[in-house]
Amino acid sequence: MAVLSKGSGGNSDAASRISRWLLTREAGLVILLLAVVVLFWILEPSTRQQRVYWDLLREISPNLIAAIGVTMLMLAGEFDLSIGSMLAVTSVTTVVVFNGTDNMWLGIIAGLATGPIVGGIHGYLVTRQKMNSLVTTLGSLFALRGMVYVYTNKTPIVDENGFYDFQDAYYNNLGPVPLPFVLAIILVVLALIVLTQTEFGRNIYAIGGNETAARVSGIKVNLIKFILFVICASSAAISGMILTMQTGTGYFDSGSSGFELIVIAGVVLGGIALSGGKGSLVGTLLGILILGMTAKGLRLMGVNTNMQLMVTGSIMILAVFMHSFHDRISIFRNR
Amino acid sequence: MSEQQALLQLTGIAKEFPGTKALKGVDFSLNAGEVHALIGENGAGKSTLIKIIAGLYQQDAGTIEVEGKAVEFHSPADSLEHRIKVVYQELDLVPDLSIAENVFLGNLPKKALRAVDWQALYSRTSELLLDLGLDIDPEVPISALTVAQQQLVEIARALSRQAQIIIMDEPTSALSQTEIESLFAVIRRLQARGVGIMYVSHKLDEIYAIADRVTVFRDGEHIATEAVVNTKHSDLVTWMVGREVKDLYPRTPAKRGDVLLEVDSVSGGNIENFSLNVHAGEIVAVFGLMGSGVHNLGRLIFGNMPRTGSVRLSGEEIHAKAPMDAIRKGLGFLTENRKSDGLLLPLSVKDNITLVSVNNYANLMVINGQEERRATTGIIDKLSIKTPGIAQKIRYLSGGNQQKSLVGRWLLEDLKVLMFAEPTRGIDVGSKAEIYRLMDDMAHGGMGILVLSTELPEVMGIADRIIVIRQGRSAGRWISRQEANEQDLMTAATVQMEKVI
Repeated sequence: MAVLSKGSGGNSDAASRISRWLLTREAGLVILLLAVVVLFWILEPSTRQQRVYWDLLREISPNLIAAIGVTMLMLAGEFDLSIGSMLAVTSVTTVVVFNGTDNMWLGIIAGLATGPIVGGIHGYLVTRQKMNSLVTTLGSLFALRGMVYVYTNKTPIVDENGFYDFQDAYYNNLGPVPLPFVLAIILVVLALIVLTQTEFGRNIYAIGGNETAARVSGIKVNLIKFILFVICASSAAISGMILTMQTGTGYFDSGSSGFELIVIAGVVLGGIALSGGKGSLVGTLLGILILGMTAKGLRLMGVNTNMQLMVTGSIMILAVFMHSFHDRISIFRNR
Repeated sequence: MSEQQALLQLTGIAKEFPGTKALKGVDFSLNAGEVHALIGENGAGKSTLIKIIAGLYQQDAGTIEVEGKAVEFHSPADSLEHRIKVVYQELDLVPDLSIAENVFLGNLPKKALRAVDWQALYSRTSELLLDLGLDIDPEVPISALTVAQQQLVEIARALSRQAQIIIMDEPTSALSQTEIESLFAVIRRLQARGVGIMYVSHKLDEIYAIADRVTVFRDGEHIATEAVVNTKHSDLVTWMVGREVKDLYPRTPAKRGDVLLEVDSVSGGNIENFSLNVHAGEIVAVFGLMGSGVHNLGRLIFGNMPRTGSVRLSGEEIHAKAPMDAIRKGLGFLTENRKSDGLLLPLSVKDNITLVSVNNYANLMVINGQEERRATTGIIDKLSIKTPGIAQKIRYLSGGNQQKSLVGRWLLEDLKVLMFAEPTRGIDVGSKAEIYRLMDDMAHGGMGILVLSTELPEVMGIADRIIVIRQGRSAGRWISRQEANEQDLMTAATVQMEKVI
């Protein structure tokens, strides 16, 4: 009897530790991701190959990189809806400079430079002119896309030099790991360190949590927001560069099929509060993986796209439900 | 003027906003180791002056000197650099960050590469908190703290920056009596260290308890600066309102009618088995300290907090969890948080007043604008709400006029009983008297009023019957305010708590 109760005591200890971990936001997302993986494992035999997962990581890299900037900006309570159009701007700029200069590096530099320029304009309009970021970037979503359409006359721009090194970078691996994902993970880790371990990062949370408090504490709110707009558009430019590598063309419709919404969906699914100040980049990583895995699994199953929309949407609502449930529990625990 | 050089000297400060002159050239000085109170009604210009000192606003005219040197504040960072820290009335904390991160907000201790030095952050925060008598884990998020603890975190924040000038804006508005006393102890300790404290308050009693000098503003003008020992209570009131307020509490006995509200063994939250009733023509007050459950009692009765037990209005049962049912049957509720629970700040005075009753002016869901305006104007006249017009955004009204608008909102409904939590919190003396008069009028009109308050003088001044609540339970009942005295009420409200401490 005594032995039994002792044993069960030890069990309940471990159980309580596990149940405490289960109450964290990230744990819920990990479980959701595993559930999605297991579900497809059962339903679709082709997902039982390792190759599928390496492909998945390659494919979600552009989304993940763009999501870093979106996450940081949203943590400070601001938005950038224009990232889809940014992809096309970067893509077209890069290949146009390729063809004009016959120099790969100049093209890459020019393509990446579009990020800070557009982000800087957003930052200026929002922080200096006090314009609403949602509306401002909704405007540039259309304006940038229109600019690209006008310039290219809706024809893809072909890389006349055929820079194969450039295209190979997308398909090459480091060991088993796709190169784009290596880049994405490096950027995620860097951003994670900035967000959790530096004053700049903690100030982002402070601004999103209570902007007035941040301001009266002497935090340079406008400067930080300006930098975040630059980071966000720049991360979108990097995504655009990777997608350009994939096809080797400057494509006017790059990111036009709701790229910004898919990324924001991943970020929100990962638990970043729309009002800012709450959430972590780890959540974003998981959110993007969940959406990516769902889309890929459905595609492999040959499910039609309408059905895919339905399933993806439902998973998102399930995740948001999980977060609000989590919030209610933690309020309860704090009391 | 004085031999001692002032720590902070403001001269001829003026500030104009579109439509109003908030400050018309005011002076204020603060010496090291001094508590200098600034009082005035809402709209007197106190908050504007604080914001200028904090660097949030820039003055149109006038000079600021810190330790004899002229300074200009273009941003809060400039003001902080001169070791000035404002402890705001509405606490400026980031709820999801830890205590430590809040204390050092904008000023986190750093290691190489600008990385946050967490160890130093937590240990230095613990030291500061212990210094203020708060023994609590600095890694806990702010949202888990009580208001009083949050206030101490704000003060710890001032100390973390070695502030030499601390400005406290209504620091006690949400504190209990014991918490106020420990705050005063902290203030005295800061004073002994040579910190100058500007203490902005509505509560005259506190000024006598803590301040050395007092300055009065009225309508953006400097009226008087005096040593506290040389001023009488009545002087302060006269200076503040510009006239004598003869009777703050105009309660006159009304005819007691049938029982209207019957609350029977209600439980929920920290409240257990609480019963009371209110008759027509009666003002009943429930008095308790912060944390006693006095405010939750209102929520339980109104139905926006889950409850067990029964609530009846004129014999009809009111459903739990359905405020709409309470309203339909004639019960109104003004909560203690005017800004967050009551007002729609970006909307007009009219929209705020007709929020609940708007359906009364609608035919087939289309609002009859003319009728709505007429009803609003009627209320504005009846309650003498001071506003440039019914289309004025309510956020620009003074606290007193906002509160009157909220009362007006309920007057448009055919109410039997109005519950009133902290009816005069953050309201100036003149408006207080008007709110009390309104309550008296309503009682004479046959309504029942239930006041839920943490302010003893108010309860003593206005109630026909008083119930004390302590730790969610009834802790004493007085059938008339003539029989009650402050001592007994306070003892009833606190005695058990002190045992715990």
